[in-house]
Amino acid sequence: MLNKITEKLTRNIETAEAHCDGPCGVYDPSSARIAAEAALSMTKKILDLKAPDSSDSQAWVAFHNTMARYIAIKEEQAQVAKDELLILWTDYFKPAHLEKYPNLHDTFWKAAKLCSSVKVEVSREHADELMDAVKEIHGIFWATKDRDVAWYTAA
Amino acid sequence: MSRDLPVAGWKDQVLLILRRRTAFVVDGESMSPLLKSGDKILVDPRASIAVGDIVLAHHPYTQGSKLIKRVAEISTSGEYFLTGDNPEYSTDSRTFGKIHTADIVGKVVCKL
Repeated sequence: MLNKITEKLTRNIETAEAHCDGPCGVYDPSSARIAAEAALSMTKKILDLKAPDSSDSQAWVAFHNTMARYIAIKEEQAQVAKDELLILWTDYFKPAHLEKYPNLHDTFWKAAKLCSSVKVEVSREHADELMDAVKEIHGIFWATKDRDVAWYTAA
Repeated sequence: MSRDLPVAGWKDQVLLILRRRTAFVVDGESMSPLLKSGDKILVDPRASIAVGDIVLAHHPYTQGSKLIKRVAEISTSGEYFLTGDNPEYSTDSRTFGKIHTADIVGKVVCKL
């Protein structure tokens, strides 16, 4: 009798939330690495792209089209890298991690700044530095999970 | 402080009928393994709260949302630092800071 009343009283009850803000626990710096690597690849392609020797209009149209596409992808991927890093920084990392890695904020701040540089400039140096920064974050991230995940790149 | 939570007995059920307890259903895994998603719990809004107790609190930023967490610390000014038992799957005071006494709904006294 008592159990039946309890069951009836607890049929449509309010929720007590016991979860995280994001997709629970699904964080991985590889998404930032892929975007940073794409931005590096586009930087290289922009630097290597040769302008046509002739005054042939079709050749110039093709050149400008290719250059514009490289630039657009570089801008987009540098921004994606920045967004992915900011998610890791603000959502995954907690004050306890900062105690163990006191340069954590500085590392992320510099990495985010590098994303902006790679987006704005055509700098092989900054694109390489961004990859180094993402690699450092990869190391810290997996160390916080006590997992030995080797660094790798697609290229 | 107890890491355990008793199962509701007949007294708790009577108190629920008398509206001295409020029932909630847990959603999420931040209090796992003690409380899993889908578990039902009873909250006593009048119980005194100590460090180690599990409490229900209003979310400081999301209106209408209530959180279930464990009290890790109570400051001298009466603010509560709340954490999940399963920190990797928990957004808690480590992210949103301490919770004011006024935002504590009550103590989680048992599960159904």
